[in-house]
Amino acid sequence: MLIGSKLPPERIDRTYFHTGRAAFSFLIGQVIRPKKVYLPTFTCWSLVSAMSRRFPEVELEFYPVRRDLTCIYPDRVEEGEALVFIHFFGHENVGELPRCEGTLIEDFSHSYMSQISPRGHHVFGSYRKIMKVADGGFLWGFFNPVYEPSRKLDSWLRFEAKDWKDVREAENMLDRDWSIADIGSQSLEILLTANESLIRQKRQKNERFLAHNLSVGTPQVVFRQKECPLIHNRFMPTTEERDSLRAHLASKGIFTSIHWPTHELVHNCGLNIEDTLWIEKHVISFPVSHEYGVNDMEYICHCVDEWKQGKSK
Amino acid sequence: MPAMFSIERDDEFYVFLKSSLPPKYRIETEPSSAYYSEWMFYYNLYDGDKLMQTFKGDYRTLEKGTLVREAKKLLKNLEMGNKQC
Repeated sequence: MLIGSKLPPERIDRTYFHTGRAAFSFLIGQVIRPKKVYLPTFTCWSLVSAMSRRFPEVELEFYPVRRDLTCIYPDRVEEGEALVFIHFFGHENVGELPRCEGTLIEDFSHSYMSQISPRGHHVFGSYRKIMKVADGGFLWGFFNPVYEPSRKLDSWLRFEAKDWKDVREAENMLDRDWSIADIGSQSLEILLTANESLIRQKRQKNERFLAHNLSVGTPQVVFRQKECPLIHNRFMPTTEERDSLRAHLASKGIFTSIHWPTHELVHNCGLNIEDTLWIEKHVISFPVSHEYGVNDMEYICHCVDEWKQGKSK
Repeated sequence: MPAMFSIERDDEFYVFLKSSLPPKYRIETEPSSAYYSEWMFYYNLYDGDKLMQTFKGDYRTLEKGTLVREAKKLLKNLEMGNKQC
């Protein structure tokens, strides 16, 4: 035991980054250094972009995802290979994992409030999906990255934003160029003081309300008791109906999204991606943020009913 | 008003002007609502409510340094009271 006043700093079991893609890139480039990475065909573009822009020398292979979010993994992950799997929208991905001599990486971006016990070797994610923060990504465990310089102009713009346009512009800036930088102090304060239990409860309540009361489509996911929903995804019978509903809701001030459009590299990967494309054509993603209450969910259902009645006339 | 930071890259154009324009001017973005259209830009510069100039294009095909030069020139002209941007 040492007694003194100049001691090394404490280490915590979490490493923070400016973004989830920065955390992922640090993991790939500095920790695992794989020769091959597997990603799901159904995925956010930021992971595909991170691989293609930062690691063009690393082989990238996709594995198919069915419309019920079942993953068709490769038979085995060899030494020197890494496979990323996602707990889509906060719903635990419980499928049997492949035999693995390499590295399994879990993307917790949607699910870090879902009380899931990780099965992979590493866990990373983005904080911006669930929490209203300017930036934030994480890697479980203590690492000591030498962060890259960044002026974080995207964060500056988010704080200046008064509407969705500046937020979108900030998102675009990040998509164009990003570095492996540290998290901002404003974001860290919000994250460390967040009431996760309350956030989970509110999101569950909102999601359940939509699951039971929306009068069109069918839910993509049935969330479990411990899970914290990111959004409520619903499948519409046709793309035309989905797009018409989205337009109607937007006219009422309700902005939905599509999780996710399919990346060009997935289109060209040579796999059967029929289900991934089917999801893209049929899904509509409703917000269930803890910022909203059941009255907001009622308004969404009311506007959906309006659209349905207008369609039947 | 001195600029808050120096512009180094074309895609800092919007933030640079947003942070540095004299108070009577403002710049607004009109981002595409299409997914993954991050390379497209569309900015409107206003003097009060009057549209002064529009900047529209694709960052991928832009000659490097174009918007950096444009932003510096614009700011200098506006600060000198010259609206011929």
